[in-house]
Amino acid sequence: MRLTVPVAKVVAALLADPDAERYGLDLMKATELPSGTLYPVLQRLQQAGWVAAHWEQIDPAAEGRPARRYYRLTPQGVTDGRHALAELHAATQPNTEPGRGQARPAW
Amino acid sequence: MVTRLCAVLLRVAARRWPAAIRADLHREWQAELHVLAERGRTAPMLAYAASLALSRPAADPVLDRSTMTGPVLRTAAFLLLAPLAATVAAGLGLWLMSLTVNGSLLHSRPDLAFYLQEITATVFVAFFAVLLALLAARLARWGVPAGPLPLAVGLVVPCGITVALFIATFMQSDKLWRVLPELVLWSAGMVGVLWLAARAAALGHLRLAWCVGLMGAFVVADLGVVFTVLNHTPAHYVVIEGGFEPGVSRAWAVLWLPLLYLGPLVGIGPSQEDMWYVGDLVDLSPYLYLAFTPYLLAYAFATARRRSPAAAASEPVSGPAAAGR
Repeated sequence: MRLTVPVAKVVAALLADPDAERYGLDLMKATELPSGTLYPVLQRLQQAGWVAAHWEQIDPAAEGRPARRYYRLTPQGVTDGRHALAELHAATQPNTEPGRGQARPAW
Repeated sequence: MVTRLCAVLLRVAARRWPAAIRADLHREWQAELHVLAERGRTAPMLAYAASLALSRPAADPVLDRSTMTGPVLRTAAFLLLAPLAATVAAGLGLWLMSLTVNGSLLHSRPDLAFYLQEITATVFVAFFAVLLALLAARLARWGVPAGPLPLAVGLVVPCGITVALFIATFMQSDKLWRVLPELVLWSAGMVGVLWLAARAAALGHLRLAWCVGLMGAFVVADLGVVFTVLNHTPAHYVVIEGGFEPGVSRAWAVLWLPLLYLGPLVGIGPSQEDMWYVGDLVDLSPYLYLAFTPYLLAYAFATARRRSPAAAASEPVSGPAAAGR
């Protein structure tokens, strides 16, 4: 699973509460991703087995709205997602070793 | 008004997703849109639907794009190299004809060699063309699944370019300008034929696809030959200063291509002088069309059937052998 920025955002949003069930608009709000980016990411995560989806069990007539589709991380998604985000975090940390990676004058 | 516009945008967006998940996604988006509509949030509704409709085409968004690099490179390599292979196949066929008919038969039975020259070349070129077609049907399994029109354009355009480059490199310079209109006509015609035949193959009508493809390819090649000859030849011998311009009888124009393939075996049609003149004018193009056509059709059909859910459902085990049937 290639961890692009949108993928990382969605995984991070889902990992914020791994047991919570999230729907599309909710995830758009949490990640600030447009719908055209979010849904392909959710599909990729489902294909990778990180996310599972299911339809809300309601009576649309009684509720006055159609059933929504909910997403949540699978156990594999929780483990692999945490690991991938930790790796990403480590890879993007500025190097703080003294004398290395610090800005130096060009002259 | 906004709701209707959003509904149209969602339908457009849904069509760009793979058929297997299209209905679920559309239902999901409608549910989310309903929530926004209930809150009276028209701008977010439009943004939601427009983003889905305008986002990167979901030709196969379920696949990681990195996994598509291989098929794209393989397809590009095939599309560029196959016309070269077909040109080599045509050359090989003509060389073998020259070896067998002109090399040995000409000394022992010159009368027979005269009759067998064209048909021997045709048989050899067709043999190599069929081998290439079998290979193409197998390689289509590893290519990018494309729609009938992009597939047809992607297959035919490299053929036209290869022939033009071949003529420009290895033959007289005036030959290219003579054959270029014919090449354009052949390319446009073959795009149409492949598009139509690939659509038939995608619907599972493989026999019909082969009929349409082979007959269409023949008609297009025949028209190309007629076009070149008529463009460069008067109807009759014309006396000019210092000699005369040859002419050909146009009554048998539709038979020029079949007779170029079969030779004077048939015993009917235009005079042998006319056929020599036609052969000199069109030169190698009929054999190149013969070398290109089988692999173009085989690759187009195998790809079209791979992409078609109907064909996939009817054939649980799909493969090049099945595609080539």
